[in-house]
Amino acid sequence: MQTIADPEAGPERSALSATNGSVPDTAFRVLALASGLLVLVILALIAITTTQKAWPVLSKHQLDYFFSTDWRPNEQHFGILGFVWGTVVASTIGIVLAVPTSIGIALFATEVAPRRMRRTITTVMDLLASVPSVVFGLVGFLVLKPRLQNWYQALGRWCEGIPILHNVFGTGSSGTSLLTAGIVLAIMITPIITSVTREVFDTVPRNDKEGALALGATRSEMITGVVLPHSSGGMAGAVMLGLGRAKGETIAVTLLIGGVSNPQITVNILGPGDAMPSAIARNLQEASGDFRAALIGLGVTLFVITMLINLASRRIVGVFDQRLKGAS
Amino acid sequence: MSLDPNQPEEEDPMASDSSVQTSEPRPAAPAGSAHDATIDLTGVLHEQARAAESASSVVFDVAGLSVYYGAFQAVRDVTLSIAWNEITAFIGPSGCGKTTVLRCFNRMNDLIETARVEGSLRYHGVDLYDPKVNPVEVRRRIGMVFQKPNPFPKSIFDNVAYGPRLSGVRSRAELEDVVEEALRSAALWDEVKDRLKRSALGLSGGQQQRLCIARAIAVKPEVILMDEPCSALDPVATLRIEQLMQELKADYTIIIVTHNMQQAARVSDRTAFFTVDVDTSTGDRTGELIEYDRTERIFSQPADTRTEDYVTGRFG
Amino acid sequence: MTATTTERRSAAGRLAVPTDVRVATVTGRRLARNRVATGAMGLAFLVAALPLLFVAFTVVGKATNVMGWSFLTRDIPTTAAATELQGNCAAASKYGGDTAACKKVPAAAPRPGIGPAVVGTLITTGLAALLAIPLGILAAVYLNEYGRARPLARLVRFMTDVMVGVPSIVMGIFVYALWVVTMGQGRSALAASIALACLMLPIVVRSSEEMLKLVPNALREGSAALGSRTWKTTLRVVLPTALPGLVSGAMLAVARAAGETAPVLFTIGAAATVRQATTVTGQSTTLSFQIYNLITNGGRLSPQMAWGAAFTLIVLVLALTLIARAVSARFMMR
Repeated sequence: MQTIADPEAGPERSALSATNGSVPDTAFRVLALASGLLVLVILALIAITTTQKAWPVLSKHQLDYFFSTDWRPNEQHFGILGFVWGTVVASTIGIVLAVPTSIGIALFATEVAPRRMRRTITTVMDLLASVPSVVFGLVGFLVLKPRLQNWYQALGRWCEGIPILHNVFGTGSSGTSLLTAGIVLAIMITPIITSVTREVFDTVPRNDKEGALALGATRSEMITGVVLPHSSGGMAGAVMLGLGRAKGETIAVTLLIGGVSNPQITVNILGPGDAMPSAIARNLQEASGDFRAALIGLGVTLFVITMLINLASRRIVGVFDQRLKGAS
Repeated sequence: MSLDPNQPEEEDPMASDSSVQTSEPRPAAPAGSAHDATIDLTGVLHEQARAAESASSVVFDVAGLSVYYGAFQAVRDVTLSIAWNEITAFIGPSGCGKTTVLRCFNRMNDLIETARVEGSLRYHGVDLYDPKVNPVEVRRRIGMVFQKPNPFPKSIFDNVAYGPRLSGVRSRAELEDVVEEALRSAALWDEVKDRLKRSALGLSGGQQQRLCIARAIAVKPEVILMDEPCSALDPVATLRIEQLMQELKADYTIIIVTHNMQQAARVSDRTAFFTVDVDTSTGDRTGELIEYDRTERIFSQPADTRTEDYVTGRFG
Repeated sequence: MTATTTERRSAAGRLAVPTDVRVATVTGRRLARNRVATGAMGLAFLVAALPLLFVAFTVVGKATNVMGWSFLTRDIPTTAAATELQGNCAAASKYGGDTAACKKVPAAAPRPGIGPAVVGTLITTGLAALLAIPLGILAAVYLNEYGRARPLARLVRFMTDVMVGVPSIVMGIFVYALWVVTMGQGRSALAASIALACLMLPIVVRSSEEMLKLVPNALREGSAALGSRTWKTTLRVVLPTALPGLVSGAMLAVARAAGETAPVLFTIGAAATVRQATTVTGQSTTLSFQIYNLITNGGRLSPQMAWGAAFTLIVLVLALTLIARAVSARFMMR
């Protein structure tokens, strides 16, 4: 099994690794190996230290910590579900807005735009990706917030009396809300999803695309018939990557989500909420005792979610690729 | 030349204009007589036949066609005409631009950003590169089979049904009929009829290529372009494709690019020989058409020494 | 022939199209759908470019009146000075200030400056780069030159991917919990740079491995054939060949770290003077951290200082990004 899965370990490799006569060679090898292992060590340390620091609260509240929406630091009661909800809602809004946009941009870059424009698109996306989170927060907080407040209030008034809509777009917004956070997340993850999906679209064989066009398909038919099915696995991976980034995004969300001390589960995306990283960012500076432990517990939860998302994306990409290879 | 677009394709719109009576294979003529004619024609009726073709059963009329990639001229000044329901082969050494020329016929070169076409390429009298012509319409009528079999990663059925679905055939029963007919025409039906739902990627290379042919003919094109369709196949699979081409000839006009001279000699009615002209100062390699004639003549008594050198194996 | 055959013929016959390519067979709906789809794709790009333009114009527009060499080098005015003392003689007298001097307001008023944040950003980011880049490249050497497809290497690779996805604030919490709380080291530029290094490390590992992969095997074999051992081959042949790629990957990681706030939040402490910020083990501040503070503290001078700091940060990050892109473009060309 191992020998099959090790195609690169040709004769020259094993010969190289087998030489252990030279001291610098061994030293270099050990150094490289140690650096590689450092990643594992750091991850282990993250898991251990944060869990240890959060333990007093985790052991006291147990499952209630994760499944209660009751977050009252003054009364030493910590339930994080409200923050989890905020993160889930804001990330979902971000993904819902960013995925179609990103796929559109990536398709535009790979299938439509002339070569010169393609470079412009990548540059714009790279620049957008490089804008620091705090700058989005700054612009959103100082410039957009007052305008959004008016728009949101108008939207809320307009939706009044319409079932479902008046729940989702409720009133009483100050401009910072779950929706604002979701929008800024969408802006921040769009370049990431775009760049990954663009790479995926680039791997669609020219042969397949020409096959569809030669049958008289229009470009959009070629895209839906060949490019998208071929890329489903990669696109799923890109979405997971975006989700991974969205759930942990801190500063911009902290400034724009509204920030309530005890967030509840609500579908009103025009109302303020709070997300896990924001709660940490806002409170950890001054917190101590169980409050600090509870906040670090939010970090542990984020870490666990990161692991889960990574494992899930591996599984999903695998399933899609399998389907593509026609194993049915 | 006036064309009535509503005229059914079975009738040659130019037949009445033709003053030269000939027994050249004509769309409406019974298959038997067409074969006899081909055999009798050699030599004696040659000139006469050619005159007739140019006036009547011409599908493509290419004049002064040049293809550029950016500033580089890939093919220079090609002039030839392709006859109806015949197999025309493009042969020549690699890099001579035969594939480039072939891809002009269904505007596949449009996909290469820097590619530019000069000269005229008329399909039933209409210039395919007229700005008003939609390449999608061109490709709808002129199908293509590629060098490497390229079935979609879908089921066999969905592969063949792809084109008809685009054209608006929705009913399951109708699709089933179209798929079956296409697969029968491509001599693949008996091999796959029990596994239409399975992935096309599970087929052998030869089967995949016949599936691609079935896929191309499922939309009823008039012309099928084949770009070295057998180069990735073993001799047995190659033979099946060649047989298939002979069968398809009755219904389709076929242009095939091949690097295999024997194949051209075996299957084609006409052969165009291309070669590459190397500019000694710049090193640019530009393809050009040397000779275009009935296949028997290209291989028995070519007019140009370069053709003779190539077909006798002294060059290439 | 049977009836079924005739019917089949007619089903297929429906597909036959006139030979004239000017006759439209592609329905208007298909063409319209194609046009709408193409338009939507272009629109998506415009929609995504909009925030970039908006941010750029806003920041540049708001920062111009504050930007300048003195703004970049001056100490940060204390909140009290910035909010109350400026032009407020009552407050000046209240705090025992010189009421006479206060009449000459413009001269005495505190002026905005973010010197410590500029210095602190350079120090913490530089330190983080010193920590993360060598280790990251070494780890990439392990993955590509030694580990390859071995189970351990695959585990390291997977965990590196996981680590890329670990939220930056978790890195902050981690260093805070380990370095500040457990080890009692106190908040400092060093602590912040460790957190930033944790953030950069997996990014450097992944990008460096990709670059090492691009080095053709023939070079390694050629060097090995001359009797070089792996370490020599790696140092003299592989790394120099991949150098531009490694540099560009590292610079992108630095750019990312320079803009990060979350890891710095609980680890860096605070500094208001350039003198304070020029230490490694003492408390410091960074541009991003300072922007966050300025937004949340609501001081009178805060907004314009925040815009100025944001402008500085964007220029820094964009410069790093663009240089990295240029370097990698040249690398790919070779």
